[in-house]
Amino acid sequence: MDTTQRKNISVFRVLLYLIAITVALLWLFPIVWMIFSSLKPFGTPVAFLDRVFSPPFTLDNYFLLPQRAPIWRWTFNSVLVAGVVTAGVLVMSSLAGYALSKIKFKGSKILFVVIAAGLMVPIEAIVIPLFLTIIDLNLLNTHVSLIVPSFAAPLGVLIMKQYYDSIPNELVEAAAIDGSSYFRTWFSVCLPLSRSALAAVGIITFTNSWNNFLWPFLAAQNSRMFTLPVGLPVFQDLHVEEFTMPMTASVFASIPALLVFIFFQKQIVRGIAMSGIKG
Amino acid sequence: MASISLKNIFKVYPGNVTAVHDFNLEIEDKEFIILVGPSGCGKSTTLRMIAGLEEITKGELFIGDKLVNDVAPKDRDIAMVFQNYALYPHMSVYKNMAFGLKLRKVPKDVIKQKVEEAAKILEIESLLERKPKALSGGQRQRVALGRAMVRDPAVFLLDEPLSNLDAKLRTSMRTEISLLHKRLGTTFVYVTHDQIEAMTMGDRIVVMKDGFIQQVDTPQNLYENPCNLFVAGFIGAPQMNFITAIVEKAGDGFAAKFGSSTLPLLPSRISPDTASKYEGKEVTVGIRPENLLVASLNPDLKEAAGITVNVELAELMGAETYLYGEVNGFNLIAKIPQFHNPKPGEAMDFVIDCQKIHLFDKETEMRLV
Ligand SMILES: Nc1ncnc2c1ncn2[C@@H]1O[C@H](COP(=O)(O)OP(=O)(O)O)[C@@H](O)[C@H]1O
Ligand SMILES: [Mg+2]
Repeated sequence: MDTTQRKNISVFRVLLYLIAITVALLWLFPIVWMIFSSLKPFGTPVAFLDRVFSPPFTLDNYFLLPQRAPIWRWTFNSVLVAGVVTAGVLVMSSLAGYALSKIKFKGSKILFVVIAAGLMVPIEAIVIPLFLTIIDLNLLNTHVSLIVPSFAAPLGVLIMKQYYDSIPNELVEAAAIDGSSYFRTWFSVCLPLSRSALAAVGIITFTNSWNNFLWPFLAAQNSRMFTLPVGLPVFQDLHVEEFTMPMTASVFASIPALLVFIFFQKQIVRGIAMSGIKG
Repeated sequence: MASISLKNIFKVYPGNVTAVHDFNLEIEDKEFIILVGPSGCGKSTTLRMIAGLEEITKGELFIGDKLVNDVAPKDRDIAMVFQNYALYPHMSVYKNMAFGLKLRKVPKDVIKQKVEEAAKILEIESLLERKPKALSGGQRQRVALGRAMVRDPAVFLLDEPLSNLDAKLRTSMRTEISLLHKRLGTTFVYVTHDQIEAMTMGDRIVVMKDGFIQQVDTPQNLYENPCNLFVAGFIGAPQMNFITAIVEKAGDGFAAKFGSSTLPLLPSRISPDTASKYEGKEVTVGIRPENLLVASLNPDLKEAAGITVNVELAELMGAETYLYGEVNGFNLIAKIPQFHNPKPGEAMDFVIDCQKIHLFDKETEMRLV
C-alpha cells in the first residue's frame, strides 16, 4: 500500500509539472515570437514561423522606430507618469492605510468600506465623468490629467491597511507615550516596518500604470502627450500589412516592465499574495 | 515623582462592556502599587487609562495635582513597559532608548549620557548596537525598562512585564525591578495576574475582580485579613482551604462544627456578637494550607481542632510537602515543612490552628469580624 501511494504521488507530480510547463510555454511563446519578429528585416511576414525563427536577423527596426514616431518622447511620458503615479500612490495609500488601521476616529469603518468598494468600480464606469471634469478644468493634454486620477488607489490602501493591522498596536502606543505625533509615528515607526508592503504596492502600481491604456488614450489627444501604450497602435495603423515594426515597438515598450518583473519577482509574488487579487 | 489619584473612574467599552466600575484609589508618591486579579478583570484597562491610551468614560484622574483626563499620553510625564516589550524592531537598542528623548529635542550629548547611564544600570551596555530581534527575552525586557528610565518619568506603568519570561528569569527580574524602584524613587504602577509577583514586589496591592476593586492593602494585611472569599482564595499558594461549618454555642463562647471536628471561634477571629448572630447557621471557614498541621508533630498547639484527612496525593517540593486530601466532600491541601511521602489513601491526623482561621458569610462571601 505504501509503495502504490508513493507511486500515485510521483505520477501526480509528473502531471503537475507537465501542466505547469505547458502553461509556461503558452505564455512564453507569444513573447518569443514577438522578440524574433522584431529582429526580422522590415516586411517579413511574421505568420510564417519557419522564416521568423531563421536568419537573417537585424536590429534595423529598432533604429527605424524613432524616425517613425516620437517614441522617446512617449517613453519620457510613460516614465514620468508611472513614476509620479507610483510615488503618489505609495504616499497616499500608506498614509490612508495607517490612519484606517492605527488611528481611532469616528466613521473609520465606514470609510474603509467605501474605499474598498472603490475596488469594484471599473474604470469604464468613471471614465466619461472624469473626462468631462478634466475638460472643465482645462487639463486636457497635460501630465497632471494623466497622473492625478490614478492617485486614488483602493487596492494600495487595502494592502497597506492590512499590513499595518499586522503591526502590533503596542508599538504605536509606545511611540505615543514616547512623545511621537501621529504623523511622526507613521514616518518613524510604521513606514520603515512596511517596506515589503510598499514594494508590493509600488510594483503593482508601476506595472499597471505603465500598461494603462484607456485613460491616457482619452486624456492625451495630442501625440506629444501619448504614453507608450497609446502610441503603439500608431505603428500598426501606418503599416497595415507589416508587422515587424509594431512587434519592435511592442518589445521596446515592454522592456521596462520586463526589467521590473525580473528584478522584483519575489516582491511581485508576495504582493499578489498580499492583495489576494491579481494586480 | 508624583502621586496619582483615581476618583470614581468608569470604563465602558463599545458594546456596553463595563471593564472598570467606580474605581477609587490614592497612589502615593514613590509608592510601588500592584494591580492584581484574574485575566479580564480590568487591570490593563485601568493602567491604560492612567497612561492616556484609553479614554476615561467617567470619573477623574489626577497625576500630581493636575487633572489629566484630557491630557495626551506624552504630556502626562509617564513611561510604560508593555508585556510584549513593544521595542521598535527596526531600531537598534540605543535608538530605541533614545527615541523619546530625541522627540523631546534633548541635546545629543545628553541623550548619549542618559542612555549609557541606564544601560549601565541594566547591564546592557554591550547590546546598544543590536536590533531587538537579536536579543533574548530577558534582554528585551531590560531594554524596555531602559527606554522608560531614560525619560525620568514621574510615573512608571508596567503591564505584565514579566509574563513572557521563563520562570527562573522571572524570579530574578522581580528582584531587579524592586531594586530599580528603590533606586529611581519613582511611583510604580504594576499590573500582573500573578499573586506571587504582587506579594513579593508591592508596597500595596489592589485586588480586582470583574472590574471592581476587592481590597487595597499591604501584602501582609491581604494575606492575614482578606476582606472576602475571593481575595482569600486569590492570594496565597497553594490556595486557602474552604469548608462549610455550622456555628454552635460552646461553653461561654462559640465553635464551628464540621463533621467530627469542632473549631473554637476565638474572639480574636470573630467577635462574640457577630458569632451569636450566626448561631445555628452555616459559615465558610478558610484555613491556609500551612495552618493545617500534622497532629503528631504539634502536640502542644493551643486552640487547635483535630481533623482526620484521607491523603490522596503528595507533592514533594523538597523543603516542604503539599498533601492533597478529602474530608466530608471538601478537598483540603496541607503544606507541611518537611519531606513526607504517605501511602495513597492513608488517613492522617491533622490539627487546625484556630488562631489563624478565617470566617466568611456563606451568602455574601464577606469576612466576618
Ligand atoms: N478594546 C476593547 N473593546 C472592548 N472590550 C474590551 C477592550 N479591551 C478590553 N476589553 C474588555 O474589558 C475587560 C477588561 O480587560 P482588560 O483590562 O484587558 O483585563 P486584564 O488586563 O485584567 O486581563 C475584558 O472583559 C475585556 O474583554
Ligand atoms: Mg491585561
